[in-house]
Amino acid sequence: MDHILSWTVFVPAIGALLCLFAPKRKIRGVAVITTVVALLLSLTLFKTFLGNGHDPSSVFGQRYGTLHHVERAPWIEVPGKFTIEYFLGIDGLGFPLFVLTTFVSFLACLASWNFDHWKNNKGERAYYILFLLLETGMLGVFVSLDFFLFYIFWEVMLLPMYFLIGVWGGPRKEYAAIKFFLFTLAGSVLMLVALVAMYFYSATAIEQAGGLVASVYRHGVNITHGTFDLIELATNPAIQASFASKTTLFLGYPIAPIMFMFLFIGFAIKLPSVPVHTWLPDAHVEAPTPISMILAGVLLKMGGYGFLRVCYPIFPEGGKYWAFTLATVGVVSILYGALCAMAQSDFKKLVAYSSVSHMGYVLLGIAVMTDTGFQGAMFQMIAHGVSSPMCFFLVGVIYDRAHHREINRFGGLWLTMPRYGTLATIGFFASLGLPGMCGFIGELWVLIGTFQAGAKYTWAYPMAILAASGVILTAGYILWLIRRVYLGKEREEYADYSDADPRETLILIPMAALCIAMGVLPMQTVFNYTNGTLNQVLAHVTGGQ
Amino acid sequence: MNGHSYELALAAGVLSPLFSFWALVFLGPRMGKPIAGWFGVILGMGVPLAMAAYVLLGWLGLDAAARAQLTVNAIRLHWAYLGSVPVTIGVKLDSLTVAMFFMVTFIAFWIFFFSVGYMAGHSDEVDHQSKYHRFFAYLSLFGFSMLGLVVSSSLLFLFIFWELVGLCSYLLIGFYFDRQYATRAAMKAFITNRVGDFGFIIGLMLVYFHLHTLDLDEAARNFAAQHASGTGIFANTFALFGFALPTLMGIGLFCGAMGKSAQFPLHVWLPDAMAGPTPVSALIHAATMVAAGVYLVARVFRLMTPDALMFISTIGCLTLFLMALIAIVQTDIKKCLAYSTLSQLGYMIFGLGCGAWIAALFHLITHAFFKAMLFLGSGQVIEGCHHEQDMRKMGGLIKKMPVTGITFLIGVLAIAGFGIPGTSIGLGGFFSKDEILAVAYARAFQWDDVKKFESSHERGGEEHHSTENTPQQNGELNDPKSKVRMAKIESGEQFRLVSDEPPHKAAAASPETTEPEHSAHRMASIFAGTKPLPSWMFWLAIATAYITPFYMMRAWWMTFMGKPRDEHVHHHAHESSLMFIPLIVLAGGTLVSSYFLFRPLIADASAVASAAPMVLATDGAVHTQAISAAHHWLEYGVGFAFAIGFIFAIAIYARGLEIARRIQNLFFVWPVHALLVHKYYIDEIYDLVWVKGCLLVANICRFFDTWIVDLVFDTLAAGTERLAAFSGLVLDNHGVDGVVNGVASTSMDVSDVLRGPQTGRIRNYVLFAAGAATMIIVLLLWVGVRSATAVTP
Amino acid sequence: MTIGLTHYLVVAAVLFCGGLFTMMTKRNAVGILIGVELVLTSSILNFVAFDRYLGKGRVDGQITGLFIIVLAAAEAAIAVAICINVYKNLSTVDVDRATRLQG
Repeated sequence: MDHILSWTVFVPAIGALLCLFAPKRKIRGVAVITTVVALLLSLTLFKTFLGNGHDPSSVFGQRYGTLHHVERAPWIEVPGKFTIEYFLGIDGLGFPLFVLTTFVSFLACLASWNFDHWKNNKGERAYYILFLLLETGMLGVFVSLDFFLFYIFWEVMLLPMYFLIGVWGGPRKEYAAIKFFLFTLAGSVLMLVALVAMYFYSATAIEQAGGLVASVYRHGVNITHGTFDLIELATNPAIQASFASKTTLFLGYPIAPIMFMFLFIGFAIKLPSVPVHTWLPDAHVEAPTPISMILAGVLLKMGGYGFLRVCYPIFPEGGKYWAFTLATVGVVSILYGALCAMAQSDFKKLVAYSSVSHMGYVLLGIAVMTDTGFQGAMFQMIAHGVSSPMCFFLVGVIYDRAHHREINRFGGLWLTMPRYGTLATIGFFASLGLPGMCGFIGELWVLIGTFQAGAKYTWAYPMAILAASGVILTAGYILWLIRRVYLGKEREEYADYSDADPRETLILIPMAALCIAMGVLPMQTVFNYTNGTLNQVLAHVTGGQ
Repeated sequence: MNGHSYELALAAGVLSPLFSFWALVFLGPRMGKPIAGWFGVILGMGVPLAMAAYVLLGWLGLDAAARAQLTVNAIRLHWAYLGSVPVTIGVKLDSLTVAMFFMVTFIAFWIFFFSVGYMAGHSDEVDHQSKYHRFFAYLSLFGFSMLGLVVSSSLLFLFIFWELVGLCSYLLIGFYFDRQYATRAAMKAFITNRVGDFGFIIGLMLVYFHLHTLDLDEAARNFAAQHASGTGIFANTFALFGFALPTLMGIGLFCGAMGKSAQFPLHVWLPDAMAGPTPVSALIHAATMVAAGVYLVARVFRLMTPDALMFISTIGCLTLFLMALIAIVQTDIKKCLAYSTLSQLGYMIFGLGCGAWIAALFHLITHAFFKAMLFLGSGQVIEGCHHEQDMRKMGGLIKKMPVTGITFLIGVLAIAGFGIPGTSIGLGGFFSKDEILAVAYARAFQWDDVKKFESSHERGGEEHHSTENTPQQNGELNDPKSKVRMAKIESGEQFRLVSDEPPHKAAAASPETTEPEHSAHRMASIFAGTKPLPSWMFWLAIATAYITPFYMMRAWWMTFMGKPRDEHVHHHAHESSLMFIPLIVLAGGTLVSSYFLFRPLIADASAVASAAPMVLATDGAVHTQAISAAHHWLEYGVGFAFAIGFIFAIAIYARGLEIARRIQNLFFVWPVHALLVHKYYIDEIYDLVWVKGCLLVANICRFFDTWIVDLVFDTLAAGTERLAAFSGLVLDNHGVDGVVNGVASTSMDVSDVLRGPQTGRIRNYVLFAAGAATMIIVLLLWVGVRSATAVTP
Repeated sequence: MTIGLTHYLVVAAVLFCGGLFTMMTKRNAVGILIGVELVLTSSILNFVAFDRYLGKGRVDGQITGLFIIVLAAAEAAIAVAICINVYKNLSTVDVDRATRLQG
């Protein structure tokens, strides 16, 4: 048992502690170094996931629940009742998001370097401490496999975010922060209900099965009471049979659909999908640039990750039951988000709504439960996790100079700032889904996956076609944006703006490079590390059909 | 010989411009003005041209069997899994690829070359020197994308490169992005193309879903197999607007082509695209990219159904006629050429729709040469006239620009279909357009004859294939028409025998080849499903054959002949020597491409099309048939069209614009004229319906989002707040707080009573203490006495 | 008549009552102090008397008496010091007027 995951998760927390005691001028440096260390640590995981290159089963095993770098120890034990474990492990679902988190955190940390607030000496120390705690929370979510622990990390991440928006945000920061907080908390409450219910129902299931069921994914372990272990809940035959049964009732309804819905709402708020998306534009508009990057790059992915990790494996029946609803919500998110984006005049709000649209693809891809759809959804998460922080940073760069975000007041920035303009074009075209860039793969895979689902669900055809029409809308609003902001005549008021400085370029270039690399080599950058597990999840969900 | 050297050469040819692109992006600013341009010319297109030449020469030296072997052995790299279906990347090596690759690199090279001189002037004009290298970077990227599109073996990669050429087009149209109209045009181009791509994606999904692959050859094989067995996509009864699923797949793929090749409802972007620099118009919006749609349809011809082809020919026919009419009234020299491009693209699409596979592609190639030349000529004129594009201000330029004038005239003759009927003397369009019309004629009026002929041909066609030589070695090289016919019938059919199916797979999935009874079956099903072409299509196409020479000659005459109409423009007019080299080369290319090289190559590739399970690539056979039956009057009727058009044009424009002005003011002409000048008001309608409509919906959504969705949640929040207020102020203050406060106030009252004795005076305390002590003593004594008395008895 | 324990106790009781009375009636702080001394003296007398008559040959009572004398001396010293300070601050030693610490 190694401790690489624990180290990576808690390195930022240690960094936060160091920030607490660091001399005032060194805080930024400590924070950046911490994120670099976390990034490097997470990169070492590639060694595991590259495997021997030819045989995916060497990495992903034969069935769902093949984990790496597992750390488990009893944490809260009530003998005879339950054991809450400190249970970390990583597989194809968590790995890319884990690395994405350290990557985006590092860039966001760099992006905080020249914050306006620092000039007024406003809470630099507190900011970085909260920032690093946030990173710990996010990393923890992606590797904790005990639902209780998962929930704790989930909440740990919430609070720093609240303060980061509420203290360092824009004019309506309090409103945005509280909105973000309440929405997420509402989701958390439903999750908490599900958490408790899952424990009790698993306990009942085990009891009915004779009080002792051999674990499938852990050799030689017997389950004797209820559990919070996400993998066990998903793979234990007794528990699964009970969860899938229509006679297991919760408030008079079969448990699978209702629990699935509880969890789904909790995660959908995070995703966010229409109609619980309205916290996102406000939060993004008010949050400072680096926090927007984190928010778009990582936090939104937790919704999708939650679906794949919790909802579907544990309540596959629920997934089938709600497939149509979920896919509809996904398609509506795609189109509605795109249309809303088109009508925005605030630069950042436009990008925020584009996130709603893009994450709609994630939901759609997952909802239809096909291999292509799952892969596409996963890819779309990573792709969006790279391209949207880039877009937000691009907005931030110009906001730092202009101190406004009114799209119609810009123009000709490409002439004023050629380097920035070029990188902006890359970022926005990646977001547009141009082939050869990351956005395209995710969208195409999801669309094809949706179409593929037509074999099971007739409604999938029109869904796929409606979703495909989203590509036109996306092109519409992004090109219109580019035209209004970057093209056109140079405006005098912006003529003296300096081009992107080395720090800004340093932040943008890795993201731009990844945008292109992921579009050109989707296997080597994402699919090789995810498909194995995704296929297992799918086989598990659909019962191997 | 290394079996893969051609593929690798082509791949190198594709990648070299990509390298050039990155190099120019990063190092361009340091290279300075002419260097960046020459760098782009050499690395961006010189290397690919060399590769193309190498492959072409090698390819010509191979016999059909060797070519087929190379096609079959082609490398396929594994790129990704789409679900569980592997997506491969590779070079589709066949005669069509070789021909297209050579055409693109050849034309592009000279246009790059032209740009070095042209952009030197034009990037100064918009100041910012940084734009010069950027132009060549974009051109290089375009080269990469276009060549990638040509060689792609998979539909998915075709689509990817398809979008990339769209991107380049966007960047290059908007090259002068400080100008409003340029950025608007760029955006319009990209979004209109996206509308087409929407259809393309649906087509792709259908291909993937029903044919389980995105590889072009494999898809075609599966399609044929499913057709033969009536399974898969053919078992599906779904229909939309009366089109069955396979037809919808074909139409979906064609939608992409409609966008890129600017076919009728989606044509609106191409005229606006002329906002880009002239070399871009020549390369992308005349010669290569816009032809990509045609190329796509040709590539997926095997997946087409008769209904889909009917749809395609209808669209093509409408485009070719409607756009030709608009071209008559254009006064901007580039716009006039743009509409003629649209019309010619319509011809190609129409040709494919009719089954004139070879003719359409041949027209694509000849058109590419002469249209590129025409655009460069117009660029030369515009450059010489100080950026004046209005033909009404030109005139008499032939004296100042003799080379441009003459090469332009060659282009005009080529597009008009100049030739001497009954002989083999002619230029470009004379062969290619004429042949499309011939096929259309046969499809419209002689469909029964075609049926008979094809059926007999199919049955008897199996023996004589293998004995023939390849067309390049054919003795009839000097007579393009007969050579062409032979080439199709011989090499095309011969190629079909050996090429399309890899030997090891032939047994498994090749229902369309080798077995005569299968061919007969195929023919029967084709004829059962195919309806004759509606005659109005043929008449529109013929009418356009008369209109084309008219407007082209009009443009030439207005520009180069007559008296100078604007002294200022005329005075400045000059020719740049560096820039007319490409003009001459392309003029030569126009002449050569009409006769040599391309036609046989395409015919060689046509096996791809004639293997189609559901539709007939009618070229060779129909052509023969058509000529024998009624082609004579067609050949003379169309053959002299150019003359008639020219005569009208010269008659009207020989003495300036006065006659034209009078005609357009005639009472029955002016409404038509107005309609044409406004391009049928399509832009206005689109703006109203789509752009405004979309923005309206978007604003409604935004309103909904801000005021309704948010309102719901804000109301929820406010409700919670009220509840909190209620519970806080009412319940809490009087209920919970009441209890707590009650306890507190009671203790206050009690303490008020108790504090009375607490005087703070020592004497009182002592008194209390003494009193208390006395009481205790008394008590104790009393108790003691009682206990004592209790014990005593 | 031999002088027995009772006599001592009576004297001590008288002393005690006198001291108590003095404490209760005097408003002068010094007077109260004198009353306290009288009470202490009565208790010393009791200790010594009980030791003399009921003690089993030990001198515990006497020692405690000595201890109380020392204590009383210390106490008197502090009390007088307080009195002086009170007088300095309030110009009086009337305990009824020294009410500044009253809540």
